Amino acid sequence: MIKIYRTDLSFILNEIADQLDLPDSLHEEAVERYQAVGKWLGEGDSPLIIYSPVIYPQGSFLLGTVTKRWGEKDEYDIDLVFEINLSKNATSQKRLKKLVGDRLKESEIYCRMLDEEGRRCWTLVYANEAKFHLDILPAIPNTDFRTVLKSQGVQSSWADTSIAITDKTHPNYDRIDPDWPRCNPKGYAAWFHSRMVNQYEALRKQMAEAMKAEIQAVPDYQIKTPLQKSVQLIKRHRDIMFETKDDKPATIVLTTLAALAYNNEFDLVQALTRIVEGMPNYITKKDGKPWVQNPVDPSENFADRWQDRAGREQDFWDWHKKIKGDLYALLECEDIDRIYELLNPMFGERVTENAMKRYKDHAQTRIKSISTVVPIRNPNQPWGF
Amino acid sequence: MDDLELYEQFKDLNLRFPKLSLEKDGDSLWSVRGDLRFSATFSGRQIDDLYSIKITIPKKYPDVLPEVQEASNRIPGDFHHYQDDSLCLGAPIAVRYKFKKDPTLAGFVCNCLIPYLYSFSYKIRFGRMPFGELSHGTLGILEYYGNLFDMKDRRRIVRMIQILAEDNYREHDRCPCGSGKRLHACHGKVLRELMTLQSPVEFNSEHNLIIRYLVKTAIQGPYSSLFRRGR
Ligand SMILES: [Zn+2]
Repeated sequence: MIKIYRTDLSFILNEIADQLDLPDSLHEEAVERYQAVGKWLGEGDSPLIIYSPVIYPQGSFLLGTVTKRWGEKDEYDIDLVFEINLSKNATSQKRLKKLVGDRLKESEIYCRMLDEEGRRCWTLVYANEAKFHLDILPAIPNTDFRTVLKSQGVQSSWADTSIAITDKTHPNYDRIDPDWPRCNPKGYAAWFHSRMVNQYEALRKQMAEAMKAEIQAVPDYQIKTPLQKSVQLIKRHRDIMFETKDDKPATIVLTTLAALAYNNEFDLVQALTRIVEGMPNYITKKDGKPWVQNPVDPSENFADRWQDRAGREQDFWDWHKKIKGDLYALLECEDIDRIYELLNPMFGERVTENAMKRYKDHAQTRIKSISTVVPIRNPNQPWGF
Repeated sequence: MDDLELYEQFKDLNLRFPKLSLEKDGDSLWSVRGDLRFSATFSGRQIDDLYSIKITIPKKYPDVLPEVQEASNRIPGDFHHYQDDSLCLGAPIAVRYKFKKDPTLAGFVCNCLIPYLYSFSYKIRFGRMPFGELSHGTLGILEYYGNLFDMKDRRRIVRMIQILAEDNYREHDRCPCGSGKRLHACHGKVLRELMTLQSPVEFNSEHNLIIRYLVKTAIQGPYSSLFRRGR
């Protein structure tokens, strides 16, 4: 049974999600920035050019779920993969990491922007504009593992993008060894997209019609499905709840559970309710441990870090209880001023205020065009058999 | 209409009538349900009221119009209902004509449904119908066309409908209303509008009903020739 009844709330939540998102202009800027880095790393006189390198986005930037950092300034994390065609037999993780880091340091600009070396990434901080943090993840194809994935039932288009990455804390970090840390951002994104493809296509068609353009002319990043918006709202809600803590439920866990629970709802309130209620159903148990399976790598448990620290699992459940309660309170509340008071601590004052303002403007213009009292003109006379 | 378009229309409706919901159970049709609280005015008289309603959206909406049921059981069955219990908002062609002006859910509710509910509330309160009512059955349809064309002569009204039933509109033909003018300069505009609302087959069945009615009520003479056409 589908029951859509709070379109006012959907409007406001849509606006909040929009506020949290990367604005179109910044999206284009981010693409320019990372393509420039990719060029420096892999073109011209770069020594890496012989390994046919490619740079591509991963994580929330690729999923379309970028969420503004919670804080004073508008800051966004853009996660990138820099993949070069080297074999695990030919390089150690350390060497790969160093190849990329050295090339970055050769550039006067990037050298200055380079943050302290991360566990897996090189991070460029665009200090002046204070907007982007570009995380660059050095990677090579995980060729042999792609076969393993396929034998585990992962569809080949998802398996074929599996990569091997570096990790300073990995036991094999500085020696040549077939055992590398692995991930599959493109495969994961393809899976995530498959969870929302119906609404994605419907929205794309709707936008093309509104723009009077071909469907292909609508840029991907301008389409935001209720799943993507729900993920943005959920992430922000978590960020606020754990703002004073060092640790918080992982984005990948929340995103995966949300995508699994999403069932093609086209209304945001419906989608968010379905997701929040459904998320726990997708946490299974394996050998007595909580298990959130990576949908494109069945042997990977996104919740394995819950074992590392006692409170982690509880953090998730505390958060889940909180967002469920917050959401139900919202659904029951019909007073617009009270809605503001409820949304404010959930998503932050600034975004809530802007969203409420947009809603009031919208409601006013829409209702003004037809006054609240319906004037009856030339009515039909009732008739019957 | 796809779900997303219907949703867009519902959002507009919901903005004005927040107690309505858009619902669907499994494979059933979409329906709009809940309390319709409205204020409406006609000739300077305002009525505020509330009805529990269910508006069923047909698969072929907006080409096929929604059906409305009243869930609060305030409106008795003998007040303009169809046999299946849905509200009879007007002669079918009349409702289509009205709906066409703003073919959205909000348009349907404001232009077709609320006037009907207003007239019931008004009748209960003041004892009469605020904008009259059509006779039941075929005579009502004939009356509707008469009002629409602003004509009284039934024979001429039938000829007007005949043009639609035979799909035989020619703008240089003389208008059957008796004005002596050509169609394009007279009733052409309203006929052309009507043509967009239903098919000649549908006009033909109305035409046949009307003729059968006229024959049955023993108005013979000039109409018998029409009846013999046997379409
Ligand atoms: Zn005429």
